[in-house]
Amino acid sequence: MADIVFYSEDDDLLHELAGLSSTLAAQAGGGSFGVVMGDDKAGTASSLASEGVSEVYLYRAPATLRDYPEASAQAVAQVAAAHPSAYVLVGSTKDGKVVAGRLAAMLGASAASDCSSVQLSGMDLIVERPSYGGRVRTRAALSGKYVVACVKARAYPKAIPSGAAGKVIESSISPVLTTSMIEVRERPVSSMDLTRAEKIVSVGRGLKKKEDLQMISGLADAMGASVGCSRPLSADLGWLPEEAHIGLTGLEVKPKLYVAVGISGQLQHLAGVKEAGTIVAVNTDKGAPIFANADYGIVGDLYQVVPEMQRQLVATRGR
Amino acid sequence: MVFPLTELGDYEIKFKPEHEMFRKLVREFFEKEVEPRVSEIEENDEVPADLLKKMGEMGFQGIAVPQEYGGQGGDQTSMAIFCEEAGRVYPAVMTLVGVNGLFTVPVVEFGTEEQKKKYLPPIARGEKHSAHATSEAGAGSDVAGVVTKAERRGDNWVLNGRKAFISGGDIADYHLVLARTSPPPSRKERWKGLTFFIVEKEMPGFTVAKRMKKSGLKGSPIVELQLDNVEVPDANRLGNEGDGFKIAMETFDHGRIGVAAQALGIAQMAFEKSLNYAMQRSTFERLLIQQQVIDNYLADMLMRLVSARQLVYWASYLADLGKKEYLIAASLAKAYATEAAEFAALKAISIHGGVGVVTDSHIERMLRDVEITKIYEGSNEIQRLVIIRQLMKQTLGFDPMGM
Amino acid sequence: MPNMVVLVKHVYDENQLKVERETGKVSYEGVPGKISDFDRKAMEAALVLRSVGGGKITSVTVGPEEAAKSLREVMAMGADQTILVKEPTAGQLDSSATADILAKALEKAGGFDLLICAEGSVDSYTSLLAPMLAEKLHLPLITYAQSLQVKDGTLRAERILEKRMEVVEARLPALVTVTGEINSPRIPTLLQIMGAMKKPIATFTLADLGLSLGAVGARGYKLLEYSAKSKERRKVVFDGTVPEAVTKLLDALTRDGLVG
Repeated sequence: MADIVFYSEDDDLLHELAGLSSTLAAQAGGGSFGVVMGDDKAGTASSLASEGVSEVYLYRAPATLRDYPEASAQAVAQVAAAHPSAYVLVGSTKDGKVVAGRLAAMLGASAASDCSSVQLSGMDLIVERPSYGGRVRTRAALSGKYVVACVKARAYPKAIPSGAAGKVIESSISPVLTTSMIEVRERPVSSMDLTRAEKIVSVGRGLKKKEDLQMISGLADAMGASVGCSRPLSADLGWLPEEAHIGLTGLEVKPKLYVAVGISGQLQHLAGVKEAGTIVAVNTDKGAPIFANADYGIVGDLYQVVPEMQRQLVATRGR
Repeated sequence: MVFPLTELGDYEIKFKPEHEMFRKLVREFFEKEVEPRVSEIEENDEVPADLLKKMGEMGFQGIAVPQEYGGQGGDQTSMAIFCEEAGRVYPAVMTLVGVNGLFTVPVVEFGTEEQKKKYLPPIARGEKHSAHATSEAGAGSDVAGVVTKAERRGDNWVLNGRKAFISGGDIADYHLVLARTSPPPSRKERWKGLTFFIVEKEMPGFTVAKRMKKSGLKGSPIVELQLDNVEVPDANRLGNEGDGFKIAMETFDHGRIGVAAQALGIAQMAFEKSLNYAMQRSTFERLLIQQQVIDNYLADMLMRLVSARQLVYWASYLADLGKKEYLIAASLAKAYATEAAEFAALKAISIHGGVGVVTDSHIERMLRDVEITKIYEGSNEIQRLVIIRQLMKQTLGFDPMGM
Repeated sequence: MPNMVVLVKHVYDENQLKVERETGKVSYEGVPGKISDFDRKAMEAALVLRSVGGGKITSVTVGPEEAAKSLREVMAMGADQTILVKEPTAGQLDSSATADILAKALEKAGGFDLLICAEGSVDSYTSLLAPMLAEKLHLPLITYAQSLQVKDGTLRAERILEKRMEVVEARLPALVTVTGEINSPRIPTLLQIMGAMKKPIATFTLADLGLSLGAVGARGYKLLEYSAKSKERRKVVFDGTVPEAVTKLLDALTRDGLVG
């Protein structure tokens, strides 16, 4: 008999964890308990309560608590410790992993991050997560009085309101904060979330100048695709925002079609597209690693291939 | 033990941990800083100044210069590793940087303390460049045939002549120039009467006369140098009057392994690219690597590549041990590795098919780059003579050419 | 003058893992090791801070004997001293065990103002070690730092998160993890490499630290299986002139129902 405690600073993840928690709670013979930090303008706490969560602990004030992973860790630890045994699920975001690490140390728990799947087997929590840049899938069993697992965004579907009547419990904490927030700047989130895109045209160092992105967008539009890139174009050159960066330290995408243009296919980039349905590569270098990791390829100058692709798509396929 | 070597130990090849780390980091530098600019250098036939500066800061020009003169104090094996890794990515840069060794090595071996202190540190740190000016239009392999003259005038020497095929001669601040200071005593003793002088580019009468366009090693320029009554102080004479030939031979002995390693790097890249391509490209519904003809080519390339590698590092190891046998090994390595690299480049083109001659593929470039390696630093024809003469000298005590 | 400790990890080279094609089984037998790529960036960050404010840099790792190689690399970059906690099974330890061992090993470093490590190691990339260590050592923690500044005993860093950028501060001593974007690590010269070979590495076993394998970490993590999932790619290359190749490509994509 064990309970599930879950937390994320991200609302979407909270709903995804709610669904997963209810399922696991039923198997574990316990209840599911959510933790929400901050002023809850979106009313997430009460939504979760109607999605099958037994109790939602709302740490409302101050609103900025949400920004401090160490505060969240203390809050979640407080909730978890009230249960003799708990599986704690945290959304696997950057701050989420900080919360998970601190939490694990506080509770003396084992932990795993970036889990793509989480299942119960007896009293063990079996998790799957990627290693070696996504080349290797690791399966591990976490056990103990408390266990912490970070679950990846969109690994599980959001819970749906089921008319259940869970309780929202107003809670408070006087956290000890060891960092201070000097400035916060929201990063513009592109309207197209690449992690949900079905088709992506991605460009790399083969592109000679920023203005040539127009040519790439032209092809993307003709295909009904979004535009992504490898790291140099976002991090080094700033030609595209960080949200377009696909790779080990960027986004992991699962489109049905991924067209890599002028991308050599380094491991760090490939790690972001392992799950793509079909990969197409366009590169002048016959020996570029991308070709060994693609389904279809054309060895050629992207400045000729891309416009030709657009031309043929528009002409013969009437787009 | 086994002729022509005597000890079992003469057949060893050993590396130290720093060699591996150095190789990894040189490779990282070349793949990160040089590779992306190869197309640009091929196009402009010039290595950008900022890249030269970065290489200077990495101490590449001073790998073999002793630490007390501002160099890295590296051994022959470290030098070979640099030359190989540079040659693997872009041989022209290896030549441009490596040619400094043809100045620093003789200065270290034969220079006065003042000369060493003045010239070595700035070169080792990459602040100044140097070149070696022995070759003339009428005297390449025939070093003794040099006609540039140096006449004594009080405390100075006055140099007149024209040097040709001088690598890096246009960017060099210091030139080591070979000139005839006295007529040969007899036809059989043409090698006597030559002397080296350190000429600085600002010296009046010294000009870079012509830059020659060539098919390969783009970015590593070769020039003709014109000397018109260039006055050089006696303090700039390197070694004794008349020692020039001996110094030249010893200098080339030292540089041989570097060129062998450069060629090894070319062969290595030719093989890597060909293997890669064969594993990706399909023809007649099978991968190239599943075609026997291709497998034969690859195996032939690998045989030669690995043999060359053994020779190069065997030579550098012997040199580092101070064994005289290194001379034979170095000549074997130079002749073999450069020819192995040419073979590899040709086969790489065959394996790549039409793409092999497309400039952007950088496959045909390997063939253009490799040709000169068979010619310079002692042509392979000369190397073959050196091998036998050295063998005779060492084992039977006489030189069949009677010199 | 902050004294800094840089944590590094010796990992298997992910490009040389041996995978059995049919079963997807992964073997580490004979796979060469290397320093986790981003650790050199952590070292570079420390070197940059040292060039501004001075201080001593110590590098620490928990690993098998071969991990000394990675310590030599950061020594060549400029670390003043290094500590190796020699443990042959280090690669199988989970983050909580590594955190416990490091917490003890740090006592041997002689005090520090700033603890720096990469946001993750290229093998498991859990990003859990730093928060666990921060909690155990009661240190302020700043993660995913893209820039660092130390002034008057305060660390200021820019954090890059998924949807926002933060500027945060913490009083030293503190722990900071750096992102892959923070810098381009310097390449040491041959001279520096040769110098690094000669310097000693302070080496300890778990027993030397008063620890034992059975008593470190939360002891609830059990590795079940490693498998190399590799989606079989068709690797088809279309040749011909550009128009011909593009036509073949689009025909294939149309057949697959991906365009048109």
